[in-house]
Amino acid sequence: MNDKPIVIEDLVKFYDGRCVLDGLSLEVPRGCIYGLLGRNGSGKTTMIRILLGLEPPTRGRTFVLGEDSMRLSANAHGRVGYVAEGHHLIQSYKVRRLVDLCRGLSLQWNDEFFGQLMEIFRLPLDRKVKDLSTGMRAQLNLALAMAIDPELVILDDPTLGLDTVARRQFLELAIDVIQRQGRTILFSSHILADVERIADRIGVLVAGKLVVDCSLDELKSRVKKLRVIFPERTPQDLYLTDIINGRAQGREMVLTVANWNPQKRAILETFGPESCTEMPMTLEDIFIECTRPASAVVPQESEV
Amino acid sequence: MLTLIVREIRDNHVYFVLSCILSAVIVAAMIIMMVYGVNEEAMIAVYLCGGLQFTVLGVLGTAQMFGDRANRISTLLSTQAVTRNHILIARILAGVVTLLIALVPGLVGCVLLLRLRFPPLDFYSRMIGDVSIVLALAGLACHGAGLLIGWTNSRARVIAGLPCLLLVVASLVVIKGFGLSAVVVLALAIGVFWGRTWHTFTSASM
Amino acid sequence: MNARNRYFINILSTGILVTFLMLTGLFWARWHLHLIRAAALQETTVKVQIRPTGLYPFETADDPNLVSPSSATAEFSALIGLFPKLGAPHYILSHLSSGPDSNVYLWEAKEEGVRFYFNASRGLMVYGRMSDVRDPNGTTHRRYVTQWAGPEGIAETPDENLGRFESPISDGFYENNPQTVYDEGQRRFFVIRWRDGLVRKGPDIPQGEEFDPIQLGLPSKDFLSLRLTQADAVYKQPGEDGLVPGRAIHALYPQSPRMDSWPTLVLNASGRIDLLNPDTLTLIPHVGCIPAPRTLFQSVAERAGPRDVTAYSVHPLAVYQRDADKKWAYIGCIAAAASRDLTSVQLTAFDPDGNPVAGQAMRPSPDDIYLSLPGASLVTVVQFLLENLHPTACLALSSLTASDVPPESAYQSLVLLPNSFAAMAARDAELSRVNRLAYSLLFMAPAIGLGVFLAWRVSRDAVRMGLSKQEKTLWTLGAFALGLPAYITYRLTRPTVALVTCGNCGQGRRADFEKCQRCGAPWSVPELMPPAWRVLGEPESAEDASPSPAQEMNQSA
Repeated sequence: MNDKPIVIEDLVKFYDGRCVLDGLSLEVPRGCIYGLLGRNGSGKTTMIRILLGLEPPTRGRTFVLGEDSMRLSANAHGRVGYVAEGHHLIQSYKVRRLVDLCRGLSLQWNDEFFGQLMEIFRLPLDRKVKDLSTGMRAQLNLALAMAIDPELVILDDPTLGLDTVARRQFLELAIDVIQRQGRTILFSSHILADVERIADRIGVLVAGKLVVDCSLDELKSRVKKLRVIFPERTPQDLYLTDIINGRAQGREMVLTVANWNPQKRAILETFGPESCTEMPMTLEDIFIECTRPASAVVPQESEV
Repeated sequence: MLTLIVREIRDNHVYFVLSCILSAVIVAAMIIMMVYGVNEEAMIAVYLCGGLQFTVLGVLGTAQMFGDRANRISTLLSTQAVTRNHILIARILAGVVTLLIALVPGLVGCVLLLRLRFPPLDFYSRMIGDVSIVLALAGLACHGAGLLIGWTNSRARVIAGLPCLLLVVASLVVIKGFGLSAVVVLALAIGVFWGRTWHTFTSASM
Repeated sequence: MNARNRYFINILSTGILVTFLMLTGLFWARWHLHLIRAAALQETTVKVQIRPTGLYPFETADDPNLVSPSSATAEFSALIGLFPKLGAPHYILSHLSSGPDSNVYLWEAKEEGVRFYFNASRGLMVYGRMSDVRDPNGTTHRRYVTQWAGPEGIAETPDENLGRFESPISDGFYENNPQTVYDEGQRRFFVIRWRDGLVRKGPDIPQGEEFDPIQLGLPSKDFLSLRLTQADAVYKQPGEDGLVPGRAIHALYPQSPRMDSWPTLVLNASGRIDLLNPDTLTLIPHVGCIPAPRTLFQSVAERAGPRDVTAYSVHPLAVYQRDADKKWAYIGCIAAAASRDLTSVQLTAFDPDGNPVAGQAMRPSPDDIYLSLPGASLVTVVQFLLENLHPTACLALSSLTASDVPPESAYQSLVLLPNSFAAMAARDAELSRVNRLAYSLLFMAPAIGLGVFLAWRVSRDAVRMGLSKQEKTLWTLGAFALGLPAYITYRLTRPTVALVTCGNCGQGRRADFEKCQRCGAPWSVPELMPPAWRVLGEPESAEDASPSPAQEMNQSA
């Protein structure tokens, strides 16, 4: 079994003259639950589609289960469960026929598990896919992806369009699936609370690059939001590196800093702040700070 | 692979049924000629239905690819335990099945008819062989042309392009005849249609 | 499959597809021009006549009893001739009964109809028909009789003792008449007298360049477009009220079934016509030849080969000796041939010694047909332009093979243009080789010019797209040699990568290259403006790190 089910090397992708991914590199180790975050249009779905060979890259290489994405074998395809944004199901088929098709094409099919899922989701077998609600389509998609006992699961915004209850159901099932040993999950979502619940590693895409790629705990410990109060004006030349965002008003400066460490604390101390308070941040707060367009370094607002 | 082929046939069963009906008409016409002798109406029915068979093959190929693109079937299939090559091969094999439905009954009828009217001679057997091979290759070429032109979102391109390509295939048969040069040219045409379809299909975004 | 092989497959399949589409379109455009020219010809004259033939020894111009002299007429239809030359009709017609590629000389579809064919597997001629058969007890009844004939005899069942014909050429089927056969394998003539159950074998025909028979009897090719007829001289006959016009005293052309002594002509591959001596079954050489029709470039040559003309027809003439001989005496032959491009017919009468005694070429001449007739120059100009839309390589190949390809290939080939102006110039035997080449190049000049222009365009674009030097050279040469198909293929298959503005040189650079193909500057996308900071996980130690798949692949390579 491959130690790194997902490897991306220097991936570049252009769409209609616009660069979506710019030299992206990523490795997802086996057994990891990787939460991929980014704003709309940041390239998450593009990256996933390139991984699965649905889209050719402009440059760079991607590997899934040790195979080049552009030349994935049937065996590799059969070991990857994919729940796509928009749920690519054949709309004109009845559920039963779609299930038979996927069963016929699979390498292995866990009928018992699939039956359980269908019972839980209460999906009607004789209804056409296009007549199912969005939530039901998502559930069907998940059930089909899980029934093949995949080694790697890729979920691209799987809860899009689901109501709160359905979302919770989906997540619980996902957690159950996750607990099966050896399974790797790449999980992309806009609902950060969900990602925070289940992911153990986080990646954030900004301007075509992966600006965050670390464990969730590490992210929380390395990205800090500080309220710093200076005795007089806020300094003009605060030469602190890795400032994600900053806002100054009067004597108060609010800084979001990446890779916060004692050295940076020591540098900040040299400017003689009166106080420096850490403001707690959730994953959502961190994400917003990381993806907000960067302001000019510590812009000065006019004093009242 | 069998699952894919069965899926192709089920999804496009209309064309298989149509091909069966046309073959049945051809066989019926030949039976009439066996019983009552060669007549103009029966021959016209044979030529017309024979020509339509090639159109059905072309339309089948187009429907397989156009329907796929419109319904994003390959997007789903590509995430299953198959490759794009498998998907394409299954489509081609479905076309071969249709071709056999189109060609074999008519061929058997023709052989029986000739046997009744013209006792077997090596010479006519060779002629039947030559013509059958060329018609089979032409049928495959028509299907290949349909596959090539069908991979698009544009109906206009299909409506304009398919008749052009079918006419080109028909032209090749008319110009080259039924000898070895026709076999070579049609084999080349089939290779070209398949090759270009393969490249377009396997490098397209799903 | 790697990217290079995929690219190669794409180029090959696209290139051939584009070539097929273009050449098929051009083929039909040229064919329709021929059709227009042929239709225009129908409006003028399609008959060539010699009158009198000059072959009949008794025929004199001042004979008061002569009502109308003998004549020979070649009727020519270019319009009809165009259709059967296409591949499919040509195959069907040539393989049907009595066609040139058919082993079946006659086959009546009715139940007890006549069957006359060559059985290749047994090497025997077969003749089946209803016949009156006398039983040993003297009664006669009709039954179906099948006879098998080989070099050694005839029998009612196939028998090894009859021998085998290896590659027979027959003079066709004439009911109740003997069949003359030349066997290429044995190089001798046979006469099969079916009614008498006898086979007469001739001596070996000596080896020699000129002795290469390809047809016997009434040699002809493509009778649909060229038909030769003869009219007897008509004399006044004694009638009730004096002399009235009536049938000729001398029956020149048989109205009655043939007999043994009717002359059998033998056409050789060189175009020379010999006469078969019916008594000795040896050849009397050079009693005529296929006349060479005049073409736009070629002046009248002495002789044409069967592969040099689109259609030909040859008839022997004989006078029936009513005296003790009661035989047909050969007095000469009439031969007609139509040129490769169906714009000219030559009709010639040959005396028994093979000397041409009368000849007539079709009017209008090829020059008129191409240039002078109403609308002719427009058709000619369009034809010239269409020819020059073909790849230069096609035109060059057509010139080089101008004399070697059969005329039918003009109507069955997408690549070769044997009736193009360049090919016709290359066939002009009167010119030196250098002059022929010069004229051919002159007629190819627009195609060469187009090739140069397209090659320049491709070369420029290849630089812009960052193709390697080798790729650029190949595409440039290809565009020159293969013209529009190559250019269209290049446009369809060149990398469809976005070109972005290079921050260093300001030119368009390919997004799939790490360095700018023009200035070599490294990759950068300044408009994206990612932040400078990164929060990346702790890297794994060297011992822990397993090689990436790319590294594994590189190592195994």
